[in-house]
Amino acid sequence: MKYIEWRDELEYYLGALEKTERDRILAYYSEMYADRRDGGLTEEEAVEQFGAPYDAARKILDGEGVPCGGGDKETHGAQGSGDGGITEVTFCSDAPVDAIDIDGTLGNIYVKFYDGDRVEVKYPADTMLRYSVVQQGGSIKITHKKVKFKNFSFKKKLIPDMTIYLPRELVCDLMIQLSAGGIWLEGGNYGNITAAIDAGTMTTGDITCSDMRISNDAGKTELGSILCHRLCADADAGKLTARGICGSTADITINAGMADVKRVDCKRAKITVSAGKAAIELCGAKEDYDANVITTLSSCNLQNRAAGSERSIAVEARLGTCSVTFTDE
Amino acid sequence: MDIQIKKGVLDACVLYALSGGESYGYKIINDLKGIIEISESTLYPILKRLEAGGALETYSRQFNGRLRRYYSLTETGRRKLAEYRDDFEGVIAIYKKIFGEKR
Repeated sequence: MKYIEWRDELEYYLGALEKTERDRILAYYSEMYADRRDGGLTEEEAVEQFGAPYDAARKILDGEGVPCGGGDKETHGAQGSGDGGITEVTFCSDAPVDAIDIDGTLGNIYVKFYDGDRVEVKYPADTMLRYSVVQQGGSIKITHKKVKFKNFSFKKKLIPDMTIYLPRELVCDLMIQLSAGGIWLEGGNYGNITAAIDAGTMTTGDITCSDMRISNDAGKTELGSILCHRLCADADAGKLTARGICGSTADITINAGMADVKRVDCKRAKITVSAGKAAIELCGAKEDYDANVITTLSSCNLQNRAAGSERSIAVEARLGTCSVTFTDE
Repeated sequence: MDIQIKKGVLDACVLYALSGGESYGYKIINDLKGIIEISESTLYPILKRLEAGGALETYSRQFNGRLRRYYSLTETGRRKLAEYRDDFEGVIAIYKKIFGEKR
């Protein structure tokens, strides 16, 4: 193994540490490496004497008193043995958490609730694409690391699946950004949710939150019942299905590729169809709403209505069709 | 070796390795070779702990066109090494009483 590869792996396993501390450790090893080379060892020999990057990181993390961040719970297989055994890395929060911020490229992200009292993040260690998980104050930041394709191996899984376990009583903000992949949010209480995928799948259970912003440019989005103050759902050219959006004071903004949204109970609804089709079912009677409809080259089954009502609906349909129906509930 | 005992022994060894003057990571490991096998991954937390406790001070200096981190004992470090010596003398006396006479 080349030293630079060894060092990269070490850095990866030290992901739970602050960057300044990580850099300090890497500088320490680089000095050790240079001294070994000066002492007459070859690169191969020098690296071999360091042992597996995982074991080195483990010793350092133990010495730092880091509980279990960057380590794993399974027994760790021999480094680079190619036995295909994917070991799991578990990151544990060591301070109260109020936000989780994920900036990823590919992969599936699952958010679940469990009976523990710390936020845990689990992901496989031995994948081509890797996560870095660090806690900065109350925020857990999860980012993807650059992929080095010179190390490409078919024995390694390309994309890691990540599972985030939240304590049941925790209410935290969630920010997820993915280029492609999937986001699964288990039903429960959240703070503000911002979830964006360029092209992927997003599925949520029954969620209670303050603000929810969802965008899925070209994928499939399925939302269970949502109780929120504001919902902004953007499915440019994707498909959005939602059942039961509630919050009598809520603002709902839907931008559709194809939207099928039933049982929306809100004060203000704004629906824009740029090039798709939207079918929206609003709670209450048609007479309860102020309607403001703009159609360009498309159609909408709703007519403009005079102001004076508590509730309002604004529809702008450019190239698609929009149908709005009402249920007396 | 029990982790608590090991911690004390290792700290004492590193303090000892620096008692003859400033040194650096690779040299400390090599100087201790005849006494105890210690890897750089074990050494790092010890150095960090000793530095945090004020037992040693560190500085970087140019060597061969690169930076090398040097460590040297402070007054606290010297005192600590002396304390270890006294402590170990007590431990050895106990050890002899428990295990020594049975042999």
